[in-house]
Amino acid sequence: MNRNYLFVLLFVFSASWAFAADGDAVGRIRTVSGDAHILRGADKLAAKPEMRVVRGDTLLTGKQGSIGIVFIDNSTLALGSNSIFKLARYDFNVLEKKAGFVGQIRRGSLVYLSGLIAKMNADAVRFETPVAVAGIRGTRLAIKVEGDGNE
Amino acid sequence: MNKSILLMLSSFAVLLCTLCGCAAPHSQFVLLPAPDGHVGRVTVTNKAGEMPLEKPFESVDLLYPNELPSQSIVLTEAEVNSIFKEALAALPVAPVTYLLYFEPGTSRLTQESEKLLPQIMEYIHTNNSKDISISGHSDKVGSREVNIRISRERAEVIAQKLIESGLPPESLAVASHGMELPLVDTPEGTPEPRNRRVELVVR
Repeated sequence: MNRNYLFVLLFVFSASWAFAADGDAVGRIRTVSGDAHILRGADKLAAKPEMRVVRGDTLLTGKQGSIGIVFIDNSTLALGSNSIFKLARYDFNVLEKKAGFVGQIRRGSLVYLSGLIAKMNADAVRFETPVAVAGIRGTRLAIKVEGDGNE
Repeated sequence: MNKSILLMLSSFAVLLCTLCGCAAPHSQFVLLPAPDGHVGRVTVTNKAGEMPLEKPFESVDLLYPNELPSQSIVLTEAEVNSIFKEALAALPVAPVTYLLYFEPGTSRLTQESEKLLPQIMEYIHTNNSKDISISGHSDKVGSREVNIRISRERAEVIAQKLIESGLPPESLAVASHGMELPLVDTPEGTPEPRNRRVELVVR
């Protein structure tokens, strides 16, 4: 019953989001404070609540800035100040059994609470920093990266 | 001569910086319990090997891609709350799923589910949620077409109640799945109360 239930939830989420969201949105910004931006291609957009997040976006926060996101698999992510974070991969398609999350944090701090992607595939969620990679299974993780953010 | 002293000093400063690692992108990983208390597992890997984190507030601190500390440390909750204060404060509330059940063949809520409604409304309004999905479902009694209609009516009844409570219609996404996505799989024609439902996801 549990498995079934998860499957249904997954399906409902993907279906209702495809319905509700435009294009390739994989999450939405829920909280913003101070200086926070999304880098999308050549555009630098000021982050605002309810704004959509797509894969490939880089999120930037400045001094005293922070940002919080809810993803379509119900995972949540927040960045503290002076952070640079790239959503390198985000796949969540139940019908095609695709699930994956790769986040790269170059500088700053983050907290992540896993969602359905981690339940679908235990090895699907990964966070990369300049010195290591963290694989995460069904839990909450915090990362802090100090440095100038350059590679 | 002044110039060369300056040059010497500055190259010394660069060397010192490199040695003490003050420009190195040092990374700290901390495993936190989920809000429900569940503690999962994190594995931190670099060129030197891997380090599992399994205890609440267990942490590892890395300076270089080819070095791994010999052991992890366990922080206190207060330390974690202080280091990650900003990000913890910005973390949105995780989405919540509610299940509402219906009488056979109708869009009439069961008594138990009817009693749940005020609590759900209160949650939605307290969290000021503007992103709610409502999906109607049915069991496998009757034809596909009839069940699509019934499950749509179920979803619409709930949507209507939310709109009457003051929610703007544009914050709702309503869908009807008929008998296609049962919570409990049954043969066709089987009445199953757990499948006669609306799933409400509040983000």
